[in-house]
Amino acid sequence: MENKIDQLFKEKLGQLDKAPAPVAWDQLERKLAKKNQKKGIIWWQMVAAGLVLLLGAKWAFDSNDALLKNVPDTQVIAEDQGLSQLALPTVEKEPMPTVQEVVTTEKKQAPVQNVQQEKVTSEKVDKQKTPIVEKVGERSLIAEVVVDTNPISSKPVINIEEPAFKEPETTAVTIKIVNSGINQTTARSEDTEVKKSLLGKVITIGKEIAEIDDAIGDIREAKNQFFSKNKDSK
Amino acid sequence: MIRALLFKDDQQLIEGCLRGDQKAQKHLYDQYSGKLFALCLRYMKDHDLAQDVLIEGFMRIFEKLEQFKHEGSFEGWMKRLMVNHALMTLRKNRATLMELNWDDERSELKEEVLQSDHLEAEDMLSMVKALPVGYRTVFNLYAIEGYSHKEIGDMLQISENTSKSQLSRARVLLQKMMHTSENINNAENGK
Repeated sequence: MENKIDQLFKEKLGQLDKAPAPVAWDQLERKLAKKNQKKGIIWWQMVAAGLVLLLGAKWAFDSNDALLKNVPDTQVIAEDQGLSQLALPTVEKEPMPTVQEVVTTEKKQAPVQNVQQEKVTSEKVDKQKTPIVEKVGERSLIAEVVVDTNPISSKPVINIEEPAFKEPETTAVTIKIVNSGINQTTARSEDTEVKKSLLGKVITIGKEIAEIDDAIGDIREAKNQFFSKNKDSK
Repeated sequence: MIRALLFKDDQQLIEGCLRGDQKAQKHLYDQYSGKLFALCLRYMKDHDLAQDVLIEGFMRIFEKLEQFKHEGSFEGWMKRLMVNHALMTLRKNRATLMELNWDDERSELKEEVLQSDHLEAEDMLSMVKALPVGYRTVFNLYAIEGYSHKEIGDMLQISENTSKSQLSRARVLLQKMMHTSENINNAENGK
């Protein structure tokens, strides 16, 4: 008798099929998506996220650059003008394809400077622009250096060349790295060394560019740490 | 890489799921959720609770999928996982599964011919759901899943004797229910 009841129920209930509500799959799908992500099968999504972070950081740098642009002293001279006024014995000069022409301002300057590169009067403050083909790391960047010889601190000093007199010189160097017009980073530094040649300054600028790369490397590392922490925590 | 939309057999289905292929996972769910949900209903009784058990049970199936060694039936393997999860959920919700001294009736099963043609599967499911949880669980495990009293004892942390007595009480109740149903049916049909 026992077997009959067991058998009866087993027959009819053992293979019974009852569809669950559609929402059940939705809930399950969500849980599975989380699990799939954790498994790291979709690595490229992480890479994409990392790239977004990088671009965001670069964009942030760009924003800074935009702010700096608003400073009236910092301007870009037309390439031809700049070149003709420069006497740079040791620096490679190459035309900058993406440079745009901007008008310079004129500033008064008290003492007459021994400036070889200037044909203009002492009343003009010249912004010298050195187009450089820079090799930074493994990349070739075209860097444009705007040397503001009359920085905001407004010291009336112009000369970049080794001056006859030993007046301390402050220069503000604005570096613009132009790389296919997309990414731009800007760094400023003040160089107070007197006898530094322009080439030396170029080298310094190159180092600064390398530091910027390190900063990006730090961001990358931070991103990796962030993601690895997320992976570990459950 | 071209992925086939159809999966020839469980093997391919499993491989797809292990890869994290969402189509494979959906397909697996579509194929087996009906039977597994019916199983959950037998144990949990409550519809919403049964659904929760189903979803969580499937998560376990996917998580443990790589442990399936292709020995024996895949459906049987999944059912075992689902049963285990149902039992665990029952355990969490109640202090003890077994109603001790609940029913003093020790009536024997009557030997008789059971009229069962009129019974739909739905009716029988309702009867099982109407059982007290202890009887229901043991009956499900023994009569439908096919576990032995020893195995049931291990799974439910009860003695074999308790399992046996729970089972016999379940059967007595079910028989009564079937009688009632039969009587109703006869009355309806003017017998």
